[in-house]
Amino acid sequence: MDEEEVIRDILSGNVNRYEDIVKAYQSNVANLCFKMGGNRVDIPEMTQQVFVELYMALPRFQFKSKLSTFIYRITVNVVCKELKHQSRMIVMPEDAPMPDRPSDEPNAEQSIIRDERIRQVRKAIGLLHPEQRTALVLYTYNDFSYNDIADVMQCTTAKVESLIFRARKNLKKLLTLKTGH
Amino acid sequence: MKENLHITDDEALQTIRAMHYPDDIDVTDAVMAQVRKTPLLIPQRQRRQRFQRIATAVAACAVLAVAFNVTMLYTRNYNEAQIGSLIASVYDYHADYETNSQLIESAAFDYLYE
Repeated sequence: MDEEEVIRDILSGNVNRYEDIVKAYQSNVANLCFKMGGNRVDIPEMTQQVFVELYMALPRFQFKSKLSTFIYRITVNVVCKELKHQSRMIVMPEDAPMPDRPSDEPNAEQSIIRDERIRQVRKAIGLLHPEQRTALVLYTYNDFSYNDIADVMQCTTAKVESLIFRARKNLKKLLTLKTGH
Repeated sequence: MKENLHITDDEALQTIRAMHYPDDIDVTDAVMAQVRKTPLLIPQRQRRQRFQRIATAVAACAVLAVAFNVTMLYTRNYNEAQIGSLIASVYDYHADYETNSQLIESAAFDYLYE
């Protein structure tokens, strides 16, 4: 998909082309919302909100950065706003059912350990400062450089490095406290 | 289980990396329904709208200024006319007073010396 062509087409009035963008990015947006601490049941609504905001912001897109960066910037803003609005730092209550993901592990015990690890990690990242959490989550994206993260967060690369450093330190502390080591 | 699980920060990063939203997501129809109702504000159109808003505001200010000036003019003319009339009545009063004084004076003179 030639993104620039699609966007120019949408801006010239062919709104139906927007479907291509939604279909191409919706699972990435949903994943980022989930990793950022969005509650499982709220993810479709958040994803929808992201794409509506993206559509309204599309005339401001200047093709200087990647479209994915622009979309992630809006996603991060929507998630942070939503979590702040709900005053919900995290995500998944202790007794909430874990995602029904097809398991790669050979036995049930490993699956339970994996689910428990996910739960603890999600709880810990939910306790991080929103900026640290955003930087850390984006850092786990393999195709994201420090510059890309800085672009999404609209700050300097040095600040991103500092945020990731502090986030890792705090995450370590939180996980140690949680596990009692 | 929870007490025995020791997670390092590297493992936590790996966990975040491997984390995926577990449900199927398809918001295309909902988004498109909303998007079709939303007019897209193209920068040129936004500029035109902004210009129109400013032009309307300037025109409204001009109309108000003219209305204010006309009102002031009428008020001033009215006030001037009022003052003119006041001064005229003072003059009249003074003239009447003079006449009356002379009449009283001559009446008094007549009474005393007749």
